[in-house]
This record gives sequence, structure tokens and C-alpha cells, in this order.
Amino acid sequence: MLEAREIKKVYTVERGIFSGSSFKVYALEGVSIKVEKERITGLVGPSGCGKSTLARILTGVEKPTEGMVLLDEKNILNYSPIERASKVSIVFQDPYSSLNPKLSIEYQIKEVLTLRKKIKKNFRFKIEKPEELLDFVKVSSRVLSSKPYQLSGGELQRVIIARAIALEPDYLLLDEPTSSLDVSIQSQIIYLLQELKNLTGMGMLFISHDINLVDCISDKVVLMKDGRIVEDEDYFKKLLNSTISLT
Amino acid sequence: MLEIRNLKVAYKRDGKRYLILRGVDLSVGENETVGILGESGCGKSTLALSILRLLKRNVEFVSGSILYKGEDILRLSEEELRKIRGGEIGIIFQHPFSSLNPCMKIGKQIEEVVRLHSSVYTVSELLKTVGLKDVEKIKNSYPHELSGGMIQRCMLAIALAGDPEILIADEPTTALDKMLEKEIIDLLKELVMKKNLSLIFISHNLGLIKYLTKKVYVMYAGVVVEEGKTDEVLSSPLHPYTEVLIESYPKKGRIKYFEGDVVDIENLPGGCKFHPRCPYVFEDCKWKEPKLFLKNNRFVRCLRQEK
Repeated sequence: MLEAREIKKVYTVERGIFSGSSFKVYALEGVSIKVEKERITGLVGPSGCGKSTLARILTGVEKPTEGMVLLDEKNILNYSPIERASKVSIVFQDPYSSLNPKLSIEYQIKEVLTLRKKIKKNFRFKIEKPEELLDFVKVSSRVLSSKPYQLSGGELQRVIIARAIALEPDYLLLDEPTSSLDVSIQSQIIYLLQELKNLTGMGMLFISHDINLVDCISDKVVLMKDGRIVEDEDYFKKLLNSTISLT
Repeated sequence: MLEIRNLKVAYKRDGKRYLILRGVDLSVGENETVGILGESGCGKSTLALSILRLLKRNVEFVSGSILYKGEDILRLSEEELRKIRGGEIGIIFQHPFSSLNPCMKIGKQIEEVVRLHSSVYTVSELLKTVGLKDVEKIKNSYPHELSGGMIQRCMLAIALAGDPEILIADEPTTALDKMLEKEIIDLLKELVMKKNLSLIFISHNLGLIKYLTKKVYVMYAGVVVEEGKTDEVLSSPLHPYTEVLIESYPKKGRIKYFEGDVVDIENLPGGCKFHPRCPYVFEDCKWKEPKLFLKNNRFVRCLRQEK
């Protein structure tokens, strides 16, 4: 299990270069959350409530000011970066800024495959060539010679998901993975994620501000507001009613 | 009031010319709310910008006309056009932060428009109509000091400053989160009712189109593929593309998905442009391009419906 316990995060922000003074921003004020294997946990909240900060802390790339993240009962900061990468992975919102624009897709996929050879882990799937990895996310191998800008948003997001699952992580964090995509492409990506979950038994944390979408795909929904987790049925209903849906 | 006839618009890239609108017909009546629905790259934003001739330099009009109260906008001089822009037709854009001058205070930017169109409203009145409180403080703020929702309200204030008759909203809430979306949309709905505006609402979000508009045009690859009353189109779609859009909308408990990627205007297939993604494709679709025809009070462009 990937678990955050009483996480607090405070950022110090400078008030202009010359003023010399600064103030504190409380991004997270004691957040506890559990991401279980084989389940999709949804995390919903308005912009600026700390969703993305929490995601970065859960991957271990950012240290919390207080509290800790436990990965299989052990503090995530005690793992080596490479161990961590093979257990927790993340997909970001904007596919175009998640890859290096100057390198070909093939190069960027081979990067993770080289990493795969280096680490000692009992992999369930046999993946040696870039084509085999792309097969998992149903992208044709003709994209290998392309640069990121030549791909459509949907294809690119699939390539990014492929890179994220290459080390067969136990947990996959998805930070608004479909917000910049069209509705029809969004449903393709969601379907893919559900299939991957069933195939590998990964635990997923699906972060979004679209409560309808999260409600529709998650096994459990967690609400966030102003850096805190809200456990309130009424608030959930209020949020659900405050969005415009088709029905 | 506004009538677009067989509009064709092309853009140039690497010495080649690609048609981005391939013959669009559209009409907006007085006090009518019209939605334009489609995915990225289908030409809906180009259509919006064409109406006010705000297209980039590499984009040109090929043929067709845009009649506003009987006058062809494409033939107007810059001088005459400036009166229509903002004065007769107002527009709000998708990205609020890139639509305002970052080095100018909000109050000044709105005042500019008020002066240009010798508006009957003052800046404070405008800011109040779009539901902003603490007007004085906002007038003295720079765009970066305000939140996305507030900026979009200011953009709406600017669009309304010239007291226009038509308001074009080009995906006004895509940059905002879902909770703010409803606030802005409700405000838009209220203002359109109160001021008897005609609205052209462009979006890829079916929910918003249904909530706001009476008539809808569904666009794909630079043409209208279905046109009709919003309720009818969204409850019983005739064109398979409309069906795909409706079915992929997230619904509790099930995800339905369709293969195929959004249209690439530089590599259009032959025949019906939707056939590579169409769940009902048959042989004729691959070589014959369907025409828009009337069926059950609706216009649709599909060979299957012609049968």
C-alpha cells in the first residue's frame, strides 16, 4: 500500500526580488490518503487545493514539511531513486511538456527500457523492444521515428503512459491525465487505464477536477479542499450538482 | 441576423495550402442561442475568428460570404470592421490570461473599449454586471493578480462594453476547473437572457452545449455534419460522429470507447471524412463524399441516413 500520513507542506514565497521579505503558503495541512493495489482511487478538488503537490510528494520527488509517505510500510525517502521509480510512477497533465521535444519517441522509450535491464526485479511481462512496450498502450510502432510534436495529444499521452508503466510499478499516479484531451480520446485513455489495471493489478490514484469523470471510474473517491481532505457526503453531492453534465 | 454561406478558409504551411473550413453554412437569428460542437482541429475556432476577420496572416478566405444584417463582413474596410468588432459582435476567448495586456491595469483596459465604442456604461457598471464585487480594487489590479474565473468575468465585461447584439464565446471555460465552470456559464446564460443577445457558443463539451443553446451545429473536418435543435440532436443523433461524442461522455459505471484519432486536416481521407472512425462504415463511404440533406427536420451529412 502507498500511504500518506498527516502530510503538511509549506512553501516560502519571496515578495519580489528587492523587498527581502517573504510569506508562507500552506499547500497541504495534514493530508492522509491510502492508495491500494488493484483499485482506482479518485482524488477531486478545485484548482489550487493541493492535489498536484500531494501527487509529487507521493512519488517521493518532493519532501513533505511534516508527516511521511509509507510505501509498503517503509518510508519512501529511504528507498533509492531507482527502487522508487520501479514502484511508483506518475503521468502528468500536459503530454506535450512531459517529453523532450528534441528527441525521437524511440530514443525516449529506449531510455526506460535500458533502465529496465539495470534494475533487479522479477518482471511479469517480457518487454525487450520498444514495439512490445507500445503494444501495451495500443500505439502503432510507426510513431517510433517521430518527434513528440508530430503525434496527436492522445497518442502522446499513451506513449507517456507506456513510459510510466515500463518498470511495472505497483502504483501509478495520474495527475489530470485527460484534461487536455478531447472527449472521445479521453474515453479511450480511461478504457486503457482500466485494462492496464486489470492486467497488472496496479493501484492507481486518479487526480482530476472533473467530479463526474472521477465518480464514473473510481472505486473510491476522496475529496480535497484548501489543502485538506474533506469527508462529507453533502459536500460531495454539492460538488456533483454544481457541475453541468449531459443528463 | 448573421448568415454564413459556403465559407471556405485555407491556411498555408510549407508552401502548401490546406482547407480548414470546407464550405460551412450557418445562420444565427435574433435572440437565438447557437452551439458549435466539435473536437480539436475541426475548424470551430477558425469559424469564430472568421466572423470578426481575426484570422492569422497565413490564413485566407477562399470563397463564401458572412452576412451581418445583409452586409458582407468580408467586404468591409478596416474602419467599418472596427465598429462591428466589439460594437455589434462581441467575443470572449478560450485563454483568459493571454487575452489581456499583462502590463495594463484591468480598469484601463476596459475603459479603452468603453471609450472606443462610446459606451453607455461605465467601467464600474460593467464590472458589476458580470458579478464582480470590490470593483475599485479590481480596476486597479493587473491581470496576474486575479484568478482565472475573475479574469474571464473581466473578459465578459469587455465583450459587453460595446453593447453588442451577438456574443461569440469560444470555449470560455476550458481553462477553468469544473466547479468554476458552472458559475461562468450561469452568468453567461443570465446576461444573454437579460440583454436579449444572440449567442454563438463554441465548445467540445456536450453538457455545456445542451445547457446553453437551442440550436446546434456539429462540425467535423471543416464541415457541418449535423444541424438541428439541440435537444433532438443530443437525444437521438443521426450522424455517427455525434453518436460517438455522446457515447464517450463519462457516465456512471460504464466507459464506452471508439477507435480512431481526431481528424488531421493535412491528411484528410477520401470519401466521407469520418469513415476511418465510423462504427457503421460501408463500402460507399470510402469514395463518395456525402452532402448535407434534410431528414426529420434536421440536416445531416451521412450516406447511411440517405439510404
